[in-house]
Amino acid sequence: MRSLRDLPIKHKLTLISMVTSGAALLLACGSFMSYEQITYRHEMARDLSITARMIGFNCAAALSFNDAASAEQTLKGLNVEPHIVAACVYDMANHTFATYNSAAGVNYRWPVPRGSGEEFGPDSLEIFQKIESGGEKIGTIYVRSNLEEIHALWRRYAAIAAVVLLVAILVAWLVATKLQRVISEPVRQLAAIASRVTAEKDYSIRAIKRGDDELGRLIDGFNAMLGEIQRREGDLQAAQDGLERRVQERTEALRIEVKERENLHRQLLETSRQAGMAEVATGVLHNVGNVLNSVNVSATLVADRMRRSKSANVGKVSVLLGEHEADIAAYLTGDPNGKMIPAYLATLAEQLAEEQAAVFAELEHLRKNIEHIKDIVSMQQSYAKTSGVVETVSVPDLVEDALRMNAGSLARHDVDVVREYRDRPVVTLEKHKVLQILVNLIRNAKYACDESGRVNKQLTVKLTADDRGVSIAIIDNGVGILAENLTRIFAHGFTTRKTGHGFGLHNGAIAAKELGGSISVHSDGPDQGATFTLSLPYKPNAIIHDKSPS
Amino acid sequence: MLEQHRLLPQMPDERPHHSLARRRSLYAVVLGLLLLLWPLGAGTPSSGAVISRKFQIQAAFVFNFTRFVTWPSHRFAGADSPIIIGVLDDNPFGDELAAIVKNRKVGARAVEVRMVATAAEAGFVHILYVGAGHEGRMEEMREALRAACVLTVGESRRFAELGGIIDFVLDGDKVRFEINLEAGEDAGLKISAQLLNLATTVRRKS
Repeated sequence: MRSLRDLPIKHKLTLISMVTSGAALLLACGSFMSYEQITYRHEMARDLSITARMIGFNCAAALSFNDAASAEQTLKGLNVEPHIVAACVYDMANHTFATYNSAAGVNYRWPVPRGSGEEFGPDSLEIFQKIESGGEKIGTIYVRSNLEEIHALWRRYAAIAAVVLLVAILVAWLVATKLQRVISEPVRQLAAIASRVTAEKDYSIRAIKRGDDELGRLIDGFNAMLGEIQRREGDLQAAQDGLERRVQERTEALRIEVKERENLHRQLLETSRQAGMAEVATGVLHNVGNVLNSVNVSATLVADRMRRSKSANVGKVSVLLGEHEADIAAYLTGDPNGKMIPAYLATLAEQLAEEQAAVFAELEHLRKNIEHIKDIVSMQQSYAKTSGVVETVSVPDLVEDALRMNAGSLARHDVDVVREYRDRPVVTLEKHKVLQILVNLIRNAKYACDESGRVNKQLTVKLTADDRGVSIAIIDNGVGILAENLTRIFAHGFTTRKTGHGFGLHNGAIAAKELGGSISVHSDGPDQGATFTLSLPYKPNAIIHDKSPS
Repeated sequence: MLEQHRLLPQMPDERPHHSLARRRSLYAVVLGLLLLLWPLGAGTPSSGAVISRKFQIQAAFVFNFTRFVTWPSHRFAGADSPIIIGVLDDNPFGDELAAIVKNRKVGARAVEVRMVATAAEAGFVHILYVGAGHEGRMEEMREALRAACVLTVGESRRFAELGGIIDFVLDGDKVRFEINLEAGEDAGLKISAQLLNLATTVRRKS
């Protein structure tokens, strides 16, 4: 059920009109009826009083002359008044003299006479009236009336009031239905306009003003409000347009800025690439340089050997044999010098063979070093590609290669190499990167040992593998590292050596990272040696456990 | 023409008399009568003579007539002049009538009782009671009484025949009266319709 609050205004107005007129009419009817009741009671009392007085007067003679029958006859005349239910005449001694009772056969208890006056009971009106004759009281008359007339009147009035009320409310309804439009119609229109404005978001709509009352002012206010909203809407639109334009401008500016930044970034990238290339070139040259050292050593050795070669002595022997061509047999058998020649030739041949073997060995070394350079170059070439060449290699073999590359210098500086290969894993990785790192670490270890100046220079290679990866530790008993340097030892350009350029470890660390691994360092302090461990996360394809170090 | 008049001719009695109601009304009348008589008897303790109940009632009635009869105004000197009841020659009431009227008033007027012997005396009274046997005397004063507008009250047939105005009759043991309205009107008296109603018979002008 809809509550009164939600009722449309026109219904409310109609209802108000009806209720108001109904209430007013009810009040009027009530007042009128109350007034009528009071008046009617007064009138009734007065009428009854007059009747009583008249009857009393008419009974005066009968009372005076003791003619009760006559008095009763007189009282009987009351039967024309149906509302009078009983009457009684009392004599001077207050004894009943004559009585009248409209309901025959009812034994009526007559009240004791009181002074003159009327009294309303719940459904009766009683009157006592003294009877006078010649100015003298000669008795009392009592008349009792029911209130049926009043009740009937009341019922009649109630019925009339109800009918009038009904008709009035109906009329009020009809009138209010017509007249409520004066108020409700503008309100309804206003509400409709408001709904339309809300629905269509069209603030140019205006309500039409009909009069200059409060509703008219409301409509004015509403229109003014709409105007204000429209104006603000326009401003807002303008602001929005401006904003869009500004956003576009800003976007354009940003786009340009981004482009500039991209260019800058590209330049930076280019610069860094060039720097990287330079760095790579440094690394390559460094590695090549290292190997070239060995090459140089080998070449020097071969040159020295050749300079000190006994091959010239073959020539001298040849000259001697040539001088003694004629008597060669005699010379070889008789001459003391000639006799020594075969032995000399044998010794020379032995020496030359030895010499040849040494040179050959050194050349082999040289060849390997050149091979390494080739490897470095080809590694650099592969490095220049997106990814390095991945090979499946045996880690111990890799370590051996690295040691071999440093073998010359290790041997020159009397560094003992201890191999502790606990495991012999086979992994798939970029061989040259690992080799490069290891060569670098081994050379560093050799330098550390060399600088310490101790006698028992020792380098230990420890190889371990487990399910997570492979660890290669290069342990030396050299100069060690200051604790404060441990953290920056991998930084670019950091070095403790006079001839170092701080590139080796840095490059190694980067390479390890590129391989997905890392290089860690440990040192107990100066002269305590150092341990560099290359950890590679490669899961071994196979691990060949080798308890005895080779 | 003799005719019985009811008190309220505008209220015709259409209801048949109920025997019970009649008996009850009779009873009430008797009771009322007895009660009415009681103060009358008590009012004459000094009187040694025993007055018959008939005369006691007649005395009360005579006094009551003063209330239902109007005399011409010239019969009174003033508004408060007394009404004089005369008893011709012989007083059958003893002190009864005097006791009844004593200290009582009809309107503004007191009531006095006088013994009347002559016509001249009779001209001063307003009511003249003519006892049985004194009707001849009334006959003699007839003109004077009529001229003086005297209400004559008697108790015999002869009195009535002689033109007496109100004549007591006995209806069983009940005292009632007849009225000669014609004579009354001749004497210039106005007799209340109520009184006429109570009369057993009323003689009117034909």
